[in-house]
Amino acid sequence: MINPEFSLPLAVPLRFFRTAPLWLLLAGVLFLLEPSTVLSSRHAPEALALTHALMLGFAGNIMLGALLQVAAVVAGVRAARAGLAGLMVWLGLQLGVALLVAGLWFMQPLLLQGAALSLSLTLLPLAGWLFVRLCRSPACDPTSTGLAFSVLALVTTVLLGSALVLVLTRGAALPFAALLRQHVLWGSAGWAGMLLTSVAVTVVPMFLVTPPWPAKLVRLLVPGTFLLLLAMLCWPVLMPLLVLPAAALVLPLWRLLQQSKRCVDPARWLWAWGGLNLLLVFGLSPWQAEDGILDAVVLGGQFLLGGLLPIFTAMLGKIIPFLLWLDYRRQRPLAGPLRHMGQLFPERWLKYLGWLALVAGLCWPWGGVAATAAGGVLLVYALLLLGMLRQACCKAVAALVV
Amino acid sequence: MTITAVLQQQHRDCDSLLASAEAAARRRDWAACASVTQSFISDTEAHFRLEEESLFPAFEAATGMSGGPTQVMRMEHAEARSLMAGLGEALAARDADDFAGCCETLLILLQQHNLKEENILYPMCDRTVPDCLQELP
Repeated sequence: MINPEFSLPLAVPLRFFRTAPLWLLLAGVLFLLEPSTVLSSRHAPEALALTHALMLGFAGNIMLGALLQVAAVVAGVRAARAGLAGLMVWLGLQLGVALLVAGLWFMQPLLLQGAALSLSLTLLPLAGWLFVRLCRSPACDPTSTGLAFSVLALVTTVLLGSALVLVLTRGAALPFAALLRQHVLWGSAGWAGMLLTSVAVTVVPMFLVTPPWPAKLVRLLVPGTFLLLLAMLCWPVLMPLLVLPAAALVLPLWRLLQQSKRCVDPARWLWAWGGLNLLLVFGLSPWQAEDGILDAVVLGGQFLLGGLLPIFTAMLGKIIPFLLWLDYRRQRPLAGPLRHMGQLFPERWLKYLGWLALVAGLCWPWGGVAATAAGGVLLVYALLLLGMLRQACCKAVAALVV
Repeated sequence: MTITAVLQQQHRDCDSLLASAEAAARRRDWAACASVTQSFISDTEAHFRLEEESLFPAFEAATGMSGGPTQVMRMEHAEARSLMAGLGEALAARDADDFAGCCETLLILLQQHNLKEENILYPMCDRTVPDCLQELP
């Protein structure tokens, strides 16, 4: 019989969450250094470097931290030496992202190859181990199943990214445009989209006290998205169908949010705004791919600033203070100065971050000066989040010694 | 009907009461808040006692797993009880922010606790100690 372990050492997810805003800060600085170059083409080296600082550095750290935490809580999956394993994965990810961002910005083959090696050696074994453990877990809920599929999408994204590095640096005879399209699809709709869906199935009812998601929908949504992505490997013409899983996620999400019993929670409108942007981006993306009517940089940026950023804000504003509080309580089981997590991360902080995420998502699509302003907002967001996380951690430590 | 289904419904009922108590505190309706908080604490305590005095011992006896998942669940019950005491103190002081903070923390604590029970522990109980279903209300 499996004896599930339900928790990770706090340092494992927290290290990923605290590193994420540093990459956001770097992305903001890089963007403000070369705003016109970044906005001119998604293939510009600067735009590619910025994209990976955001998607792999910022979003990747948050998603990996969340994946490890949720897999432990929901499916009872954790490594025997979780602290050491978590540290190795964190180091490999940061090294890989740093090499990738520098390699793309300066177009240095050696750095790009080092990045591919570091990311493959870090993420592929992690994904393989997680997939096997998730499949063996006694949990058979939609979140656990969805995590297993999103891990497969992560493997595909990494393999496609490594193949792109081979094309760029060694002239490998592979179809670059097709690989790039699939890399973007598996990274956004696959790894990010399926992980977000799997986590949303659990955390939306959990944090916002909504009715459960429609059972059939949540059982089929992630496997269906995975099958659609597989089909698109052979028939890219199916890309417009990506709006279907996006709509199947967002439309019920809005209904659940309307039925939430925690109406004043700012996380509610952050989920709603993020969902709207994800639906718009996946609905419009076929038109940028084929005839260039819509700007790929605008859509890609909106996926992150309008879609992921508000949702990540909503989740981080709950998960981090809760984990800090829980760790504090484990060390001081009896009464102490920290009664609840709001003392570590007040609700008004979540509102400040939420407003900044909203402004960034509203400014970005207009391009030019407005998009540059969105970059400035991102900088402020990153600095504020860093400061808030530092303060919350300091308060938790200080409470232990009172 | 399964152990999972019966106890899952108890979880949902308690979640609902806690959310109502928080909403009442945020609108400073202290009379309603006191009444709903009392119902929440009483229902949650009854649920915890049922698990600690009946379900967990049966599961431990059947599987020999006395230091594993059930021990984690008991620890989390203790943390929840401490937060429920905090709710009572915030209610007595008519401190809406403190009450909302305790509510949100308790809600997340209970939700992640419930997930572990509903996804792993209860299905294990359904397999190993199905007779316990007769003892559930």
